[in-house]
Amino acid sequence: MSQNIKVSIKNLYKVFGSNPTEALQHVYDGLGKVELLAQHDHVLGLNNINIDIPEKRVQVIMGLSGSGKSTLIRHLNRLIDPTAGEVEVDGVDVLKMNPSALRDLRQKKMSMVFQKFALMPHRTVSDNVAYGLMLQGIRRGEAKERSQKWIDRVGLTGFEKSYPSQLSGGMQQRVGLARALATDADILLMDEAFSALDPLIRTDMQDVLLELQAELNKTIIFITHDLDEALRIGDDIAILRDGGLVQQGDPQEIVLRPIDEYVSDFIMDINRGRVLKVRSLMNAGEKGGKVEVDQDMALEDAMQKMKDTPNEPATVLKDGKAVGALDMRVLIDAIERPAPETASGNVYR
Amino acid sequence: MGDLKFDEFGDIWIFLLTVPGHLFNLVFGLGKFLVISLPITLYQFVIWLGLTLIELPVTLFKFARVVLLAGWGTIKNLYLFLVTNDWSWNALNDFPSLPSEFRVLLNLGGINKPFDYFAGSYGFAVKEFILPLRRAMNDLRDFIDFMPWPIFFALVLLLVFWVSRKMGVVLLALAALLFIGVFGLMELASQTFSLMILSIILCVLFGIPLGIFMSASDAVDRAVKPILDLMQTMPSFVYLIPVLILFGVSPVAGLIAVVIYAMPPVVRLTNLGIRLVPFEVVEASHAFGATYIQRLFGTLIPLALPNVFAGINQTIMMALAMVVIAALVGAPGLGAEVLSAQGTVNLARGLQSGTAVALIAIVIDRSLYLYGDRMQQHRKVGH
Ligand SMILES: Nc1ncnc2c1ncn2[C@@H]1O[C@H](COP(=O)(O)OP(=O)(O)O)[C@@H](O)[C@H]1O
Ligand SMILES: [Mg+2]
Repeated sequence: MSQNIKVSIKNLYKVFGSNPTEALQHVYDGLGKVELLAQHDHVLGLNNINIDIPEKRVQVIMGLSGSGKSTLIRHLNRLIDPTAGEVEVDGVDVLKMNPSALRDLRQKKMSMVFQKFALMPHRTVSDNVAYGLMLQGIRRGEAKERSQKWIDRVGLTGFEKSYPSQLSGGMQQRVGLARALATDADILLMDEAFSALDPLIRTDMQDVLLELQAELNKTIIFITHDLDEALRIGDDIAILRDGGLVQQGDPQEIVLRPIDEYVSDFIMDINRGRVLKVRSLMNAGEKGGKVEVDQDMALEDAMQKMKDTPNEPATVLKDGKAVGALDMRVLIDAIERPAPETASGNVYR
Repeated sequence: MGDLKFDEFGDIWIFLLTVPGHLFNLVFGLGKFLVISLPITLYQFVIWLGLTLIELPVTLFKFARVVLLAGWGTIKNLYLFLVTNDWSWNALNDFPSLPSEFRVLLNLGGINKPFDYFAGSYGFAVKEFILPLRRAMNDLRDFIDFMPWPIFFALVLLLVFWVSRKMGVVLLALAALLFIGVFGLMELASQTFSLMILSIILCVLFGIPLGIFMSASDAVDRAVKPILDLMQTMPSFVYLIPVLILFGVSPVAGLIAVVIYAMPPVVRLTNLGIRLVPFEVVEASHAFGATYIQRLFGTLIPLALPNVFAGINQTIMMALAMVVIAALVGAPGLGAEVLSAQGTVNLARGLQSGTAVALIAIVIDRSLYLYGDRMQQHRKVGH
């Protein structure tokens, strides 16, 4: 699947402190976040980040609190300026933009959804949703007309005249989402957009987002610290630790082959049987037996089908054609939690 | 009132006919002050500075001489203290202060003369400066004074109701008006009102932009804060002196004294209010590509408004408190009455006008407090 690169982050560094340029030299010389703070009193926010984000996909960025997720996403629309590195959007270097080009980018190309909603408390729902359009200089009437579609789309019809403080958290974030969608920007930045919501409401909002994405095909950069959410939403996951990129790739790949203890700690508690897909474990090209499973089937469903003939590999189908075989042993190995030795460290929690 | 005769009705018509003229004069006076007098005065000030700059070497030389002499005086004094001291405890009773001849030199040459020079050579511009203000003030006073009292009462009560939405405060306002009317203080009160209204308009017109400016730049914030502190802590009698020299004893001098004294709260709270706007909301406006102006008028000011109103409220209270002191430099009205009552040791008159001032203060304070409270309703952030 070859894709156009929408956002490209190259050798990005961010140091917080009084003299970031000088402190950055120490980072180039090999100091990590902890040492830089202890020895030079500067915070290493981002440490040599390289990510290419293809268009029309959902890129998830994960990491524990303080790992630099918010800092990273704010570099894309330059709410934060880097200490070194490049950020390209559609091939244009964001860092070289003058103020008016940057405003244009923020008004039309990229919009943002915030963890704490960040709605304007003095504006009604419909004025909040129309906010981005009105900043573009569009008349209030027309802006409201255009935003009504998004109010309806996120299920807030009838609440146009309410104020944010009169709404529940989940509804407030629907306003936040509608506000971001109303400008028709093709890149959506979501910084822990659902983290402040209760679990049930969070799942609701994930569904809303997935539904919208199926129709709109935006490039979404989605930040979360919740792996279940990442696996539900992400086409690709990047994991940050102490400002550095630890592992990036297909969610299946990360679950099957965590690169280190930090990552395996992350994936320890997930339901592997439901997350992992047959295609990630099959022996491509080999022939299987009578039982047939689809390549996009979850392992637990495949296991259900194969349980009567445990000794015979199942045939894996793609679009109805056989493409490989799946062995029961491989399946059980994959579903089993990683051995306690590898996952017990818990040093990062 | 007695029985109404036809020509008394006629008087009302005459009054109504004058309303537009008075309003025009007020707006015109204020407008002229802001648009023409103030810029011209500032322009003349710059020219004056330029001309003075040519004389700068001489002035600096004079000033340096004064400073050197004062320094020399201090050393000499110290020397005398050390040499001619009898080294008893008595010698420690008095601090070895500057000898009086040096003090005279410093005060006269270092401060008073330069200011007199400033007032003398720049005074012509100052006269220009205050003319439209005087016009606006006189007209406002005449307008209120000329208004038939039922109309005045009705206007005040309606205004109080509109602002406070509480019958209790309206009744209090009625009591205050009756008190003022019964003791024959109406004319004085109308002078106080016109002074108050104008000084508050000026405080708001200058204070809010200054507060916004401070909120936009930490450097300006650091520079202006000490000046505001000084304006509030310096005993007000001190800056009445330069006001007096520049403007003479006049209603406008009183007005300017009130403005200087009462402006700090609205500046401070505008600045503070804007700085207290939640960071996430400000960040969101950045993220959607707002210009500074869009952010200022669409987000910062609306969310700072409760604080700005608290500032205006304090400014009004301070202006009222200053009404009596400003009477010293010619502010007319209830304050002047209190002052003259003090001069003639007339307790009754002092109490009456003093109570009138206090009642006005209470009504305004209650009304604005309730107004601010109502405004808070939807302005909470988050969930
Ligand atoms: N303005 C700032 N000044 C100093 N340090 C900061 C600043 N913003 C973030 N940091 C630090 O950078 C690191 C990354 O923060 P952040 O991006 O907010 O993490 P996350 O969103 O993953 O929780 C943290 O250690 C944080 O303390
Ligand atoms: Mg964060």
